[in-house]
Amino acid sequence: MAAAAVVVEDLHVAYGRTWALDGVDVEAEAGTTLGVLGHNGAGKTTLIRVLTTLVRPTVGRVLVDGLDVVAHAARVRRRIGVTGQYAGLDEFLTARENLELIGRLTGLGRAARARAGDVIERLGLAQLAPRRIGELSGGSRRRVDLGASLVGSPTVLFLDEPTTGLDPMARAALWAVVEELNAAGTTVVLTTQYLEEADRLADHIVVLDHGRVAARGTPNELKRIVGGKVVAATIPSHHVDALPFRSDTTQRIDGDRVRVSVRVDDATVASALVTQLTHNHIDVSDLDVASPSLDDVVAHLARPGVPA
Amino acid sequence: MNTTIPAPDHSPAGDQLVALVTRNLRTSARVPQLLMFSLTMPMAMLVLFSQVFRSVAEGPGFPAGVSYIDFLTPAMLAVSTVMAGTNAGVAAAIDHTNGLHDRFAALPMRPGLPGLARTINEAVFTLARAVFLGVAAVALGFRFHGGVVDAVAGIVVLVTLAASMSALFGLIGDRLRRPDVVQFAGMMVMMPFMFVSSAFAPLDTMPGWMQAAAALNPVAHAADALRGHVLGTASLADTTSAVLAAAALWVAVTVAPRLQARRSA
Repeated sequence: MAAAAVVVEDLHVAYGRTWALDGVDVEAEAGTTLGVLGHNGAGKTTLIRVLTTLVRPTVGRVLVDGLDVVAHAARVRRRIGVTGQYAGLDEFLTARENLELIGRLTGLGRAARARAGDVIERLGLAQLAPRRIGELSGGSRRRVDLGASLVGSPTVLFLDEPTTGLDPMARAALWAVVEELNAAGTTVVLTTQYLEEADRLADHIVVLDHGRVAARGTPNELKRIVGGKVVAATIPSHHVDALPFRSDTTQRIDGDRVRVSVRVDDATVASALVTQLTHNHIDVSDLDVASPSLDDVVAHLARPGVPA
Repeated sequence: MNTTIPAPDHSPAGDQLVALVTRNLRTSARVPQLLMFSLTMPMAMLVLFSQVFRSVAEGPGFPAGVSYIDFLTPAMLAVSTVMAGTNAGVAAAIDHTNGLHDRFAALPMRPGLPGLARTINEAVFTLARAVFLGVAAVALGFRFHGGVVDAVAGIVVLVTLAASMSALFGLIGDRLRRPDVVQFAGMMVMMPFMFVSSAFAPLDTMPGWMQAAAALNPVAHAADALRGHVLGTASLADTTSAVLAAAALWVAVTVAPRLQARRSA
């Protein structure tokens, strides 16, 4: 088994009287991507802040690249890169100046300039390099921000909801970079609310809920925890009462149509349900029978407001 | 691409500080409006105050044989340094809102460096403001009565005051984290520093409690010392007490919070 790049043991973090993290154990092998999934307030950002030495654990042991984040904070900082939820850049400096600044503050000295040039080339930032951050779109800022977290050649990269607020194209571009970094051996710890993102990028996922680990495993293992099939149908909203099941989720599509879904134990039950829809004269305009998505996993395991 | 340049074990703090100071100077230069207003506002205030409060020179307790412009100009230097100090607070708060504070905190860098860089910037701008203010003052009839030693001592007093104000407002910026709130809080903090002092009128004309409070006010000490150097009457004790008062404030707002953080960690 490869060495662990991230080890979190029995981590508790208190903010006043609230436990933001309440006994979390997590491990990420070197060179893999760990996805930390959860709703707002689940503790994802606090976990990243502890791992990046910004918040001290109240209780527990946390190692990054084999180093304790409290006892060896300075050495940990040399090995990590961080991209937070908000781009940590100076608006009045150009993209290149920001990257060079971070390089020098990382301790690269004169090598900072060359290193910034490398990052600009690698992330395809040449067009953005001479422009001030204040003039850039949100997506472009995020790309430069990711660049800033790579200037120090980190062995472990922390991305806290890196694609929140990005359009699909910018998101896909960022995913490609993460995959490339991962392939080159960088360990990535990524928090996200987008299940598609964790599914696509993560080798392992932990689902956080109210400061605790609600589930863990590979994307496929997590889908198996929920098991069965999900039947989803788009129907007129006045047909909801005639449904042969009580829907797990109901989403309004437009004025008079809703999307309903239900999780069932197996394909046979799913098939019977579909037959019954016709039998009840429900006007189905779109029907899917599928394996559960990570959305279903989280909805199943980590319901907001319900303690695990 | 595999250009991995390993970071050296010890970060060159000197180069980091130069990088931060350069960044601050660049940022200031790129907001020319702010730069212009912060450099010229003390000039405008000097012109207005020298006319509005001119009668103070005829009142009781005003030193004999001293013109009001000679009395006011050194105090205006001290006061404008306090006002400009709020810039350091706003700059610190902006680094919180744009995420740079966290980014810096996760870098292998001494935590005090960004604050030190802001202090150096404040010192540079304080000296630039002094030049602008001096030009306006001379146009209004100001004369420097001291010698070279007075000029040097005056600069030392001014720079120490700028450092302590930058540290104080930097702490306020770090605690409040919102530029707009820091701006208002800065005004609240600034007022007593400015007015509980002999900056605009002799202390003898003020109530007893104000005179007692002024003894604790580093701005009052700085205004007195600067005035003494301008008039050529300052003693070593005046300079020392101004520098010590500013240094005490600096220690209180930089060292004390760090000790507190270490104790609670």
